[in-house]
Amino acid sequence: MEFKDYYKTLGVSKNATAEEIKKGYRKLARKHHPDVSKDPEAEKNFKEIGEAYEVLKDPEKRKLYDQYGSDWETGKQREEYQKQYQSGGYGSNFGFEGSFDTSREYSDFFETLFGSARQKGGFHRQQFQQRGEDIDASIKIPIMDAFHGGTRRINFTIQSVANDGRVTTIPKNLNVTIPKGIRSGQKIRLAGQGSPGYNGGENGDLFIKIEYEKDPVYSVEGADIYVNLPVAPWEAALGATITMPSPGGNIKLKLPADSFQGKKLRLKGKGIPAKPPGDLYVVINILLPPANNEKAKKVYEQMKDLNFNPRINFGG
Amino acid sequence: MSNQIEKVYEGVVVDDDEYISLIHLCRYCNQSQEEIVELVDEGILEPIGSLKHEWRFNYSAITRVKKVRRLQKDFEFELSTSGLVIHLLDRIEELESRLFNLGC
Repeated sequence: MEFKDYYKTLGVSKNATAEEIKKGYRKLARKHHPDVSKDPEAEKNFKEIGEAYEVLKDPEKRKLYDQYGSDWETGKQREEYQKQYQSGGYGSNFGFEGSFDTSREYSDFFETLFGSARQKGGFHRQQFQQRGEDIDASIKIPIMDAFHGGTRRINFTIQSVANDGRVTTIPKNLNVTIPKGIRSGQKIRLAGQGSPGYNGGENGDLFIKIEYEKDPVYSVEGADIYVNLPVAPWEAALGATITMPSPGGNIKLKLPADSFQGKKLRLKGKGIPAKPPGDLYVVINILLPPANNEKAKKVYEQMKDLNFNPRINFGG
Repeated sequence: MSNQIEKVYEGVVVDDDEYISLIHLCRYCNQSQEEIVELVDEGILEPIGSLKHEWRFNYSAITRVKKVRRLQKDFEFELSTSGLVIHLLDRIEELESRLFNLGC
């Protein structure tokens, strides 16, 4: 088991004052707290930071840690400590009677020093039953899966608390039905698939938050789907029947004459089949044929005869 | 190699219309009734119904309670500060989702 340098974790010196330790912790918490940081490593990083702070902010724990830290250098002492830990009596030998943050998951190193938090009885008494923790997971799905329904595999971890208080983290994966019409941000609840209950308590639930993957063609707002449709200038000006892709397959769109750039055509009910179903919005995007040849340039020159002033509102 | 057909799990979509009672919320979040009342008084939770036994919470309240308590503990905040932080985090999430939809 490796030694954890809590001072290094918090970026403070071994002689740091309580104030410096608090400052060091706060700075890192702001950066790495999973609720505030987008970093996927945030949860893991914060675990270390939180544990370091819990030890160093408490004068009793800090004293124990400092002593242990200097003794750690001696290999023999380390062996002794580990032997005692295995026999289960370590925590009480050190005589640590302080309090624990009972909701936290501690490293093996911490538990070697301070004993198992749950053994100390701070959390569970023998006959006490506890419902298992709910698990929050999230997965990204392609828009097509929301449109047609599908199945996805989801990976998550649950925590199991044995009667002796040891917590084991168990990876799980399930094949889950993605219901047709589910919107981004909605959650699916799988009852009983969360962490197992303690001492016969019921299992927690698994909540899966659905998020849409970024799509190259479609963008979504709520249940409405937006698609950019490139058209030629004459199609927009004179009108046209255009075959275009949609999540439900190709559709024939009747583009009215005199359509302007950015015009939105609403296809009711053709969005995400949620309750109620969303709409499909086709956004017209007029593209100019490139003016890189004589023929094109001639046509554009001719267009000048239309005497069209686009900046009429600018007073120009 | 086994030919077992793997089980596919079907969950229930957590409807915006699905509510839970105060007692259920307490159980799901490991909070006492007093602790939940405190959050309602602070405006962090907004159940429908006027009396405690009539209160109905959205499922989203479960995550919200856990988040607030986590912020309180990890940042050593007052409850009112946690409330403000949660409110701002909601705003950020909303803005980010709008940006995402705009293709940014």
